[in-house]
Amino acid sequence: MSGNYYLMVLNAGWVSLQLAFASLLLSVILGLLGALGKQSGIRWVKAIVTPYTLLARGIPDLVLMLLVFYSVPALLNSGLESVGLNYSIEFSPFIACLITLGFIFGAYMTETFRYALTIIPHGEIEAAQAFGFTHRAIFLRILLPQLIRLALPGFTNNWLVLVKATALASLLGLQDIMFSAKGAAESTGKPFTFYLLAAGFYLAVTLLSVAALHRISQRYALVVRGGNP
Amino acid sequence: MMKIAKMMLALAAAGLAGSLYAAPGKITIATDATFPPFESIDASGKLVGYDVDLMHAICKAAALDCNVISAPWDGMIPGLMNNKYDALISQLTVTDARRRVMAFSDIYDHPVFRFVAKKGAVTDTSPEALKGKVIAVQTGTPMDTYVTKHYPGSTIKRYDGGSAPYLDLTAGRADIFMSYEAQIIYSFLKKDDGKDYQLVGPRLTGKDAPEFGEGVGIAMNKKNTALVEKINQGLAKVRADGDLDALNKKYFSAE
Repeated sequence: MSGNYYLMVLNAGWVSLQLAFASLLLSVILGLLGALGKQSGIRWVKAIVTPYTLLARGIPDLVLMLLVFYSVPALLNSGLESVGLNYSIEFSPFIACLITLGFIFGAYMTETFRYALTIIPHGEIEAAQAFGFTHRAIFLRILLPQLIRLALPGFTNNWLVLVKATALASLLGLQDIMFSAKGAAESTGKPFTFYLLAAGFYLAVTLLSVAALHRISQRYALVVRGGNP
Repeated sequence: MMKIAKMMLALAAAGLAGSLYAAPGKITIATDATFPPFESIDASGKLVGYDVDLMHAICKAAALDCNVISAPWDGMIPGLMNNKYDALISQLTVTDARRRVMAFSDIYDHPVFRFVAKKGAVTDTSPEALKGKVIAVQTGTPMDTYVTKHYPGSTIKRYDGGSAPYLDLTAGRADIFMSYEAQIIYSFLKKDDGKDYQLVGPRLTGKDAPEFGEGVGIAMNKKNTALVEKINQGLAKVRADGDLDALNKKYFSAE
């Protein structure tokens, strides 16, 4: 009988992965915008990005998640009500967690990418400009390939922490692997079995990620290792 | 790189679609599916148990389109206040403190509260006899309120889950545990781990102490008086038809 419970819990792992990938996508977008914004030297952009990274890195993910899930919709709705709109905004647990994790890890990504950008010699950009490269071409052909190589170790860390942080979503009622493991543990009275199963799932994701990202890093390291092709 | 980005977008979209709440007109009822035999999940992830069966019966009788979902215990009452859920059914004890913040249906059950301990270890459950002993309870429950008030000389250990106290009981980290009698029997005494344990002390209900409340009811938002009325009509019908008796027999006849 508990054999089926294993399957049910592992199926919920798919929800955890969806949340992790969606949050990663949002955090990479925010991270790139943030890093380029900080490097750009435009004052008003910096005035947005700097408080953002401070705020996002300074609030525990659980606290922010609870705020986004319970308080932000209530605040928005009372705001709408006061201007006479009877429109009810509601976040599902998935959306609340996606917003929270994307927001927080976007800040970590900003710092990771910004650091990588500072290492790339400015002369390369100037040289590209002299050759008449467009902004787009400079970013795609000069910055991005080097950025990927330089940011990959930091990116790997962020991703691994992000995957584990998705477990918090169970506290909002998202039917992810932790939530299902808890349900199965209480139903069968075997908490160790199902929490170990969940632990094994996260460990497997970590191992696969490390292997995949290692391959990517080798691919991008070719540029420096091979010298002039 | 584009492929990965596209895949992620597709994943995100799938997640969004899968997580949106039920269509309007549907009533969302939350339950904490970690409390067998009242509410738990079966091997396919489906909600099962006494409260779940009862809720479906009530919805059928009242012609309501109901969606019973599993939610975490801690977020239930805030979720009800913020209209995330329309109602809660989770063996919620009706007390004056709770009545101040939410509305309740008519009482549908009078649960019995009981202590459980190792066979022969505890014979007397009076506050004097349990002085210095470790009492385990689930936090935020009527049992918690009861032992906190009446057992000041004991050490009270609070747990957020229904099954964690049994682990501490069998490991010797707690001397005695108080819960719903039916939950103790179903989740512990009937299982291998519980074979050296027994129910001790008197069977307690709301008549013995106000902390145990008036019984259990379905919680709803105070503003939603129309739903309270409908649920009560459904409950009355389920009671009159004998469905409630049948449910009681199905789940608790062995006691």
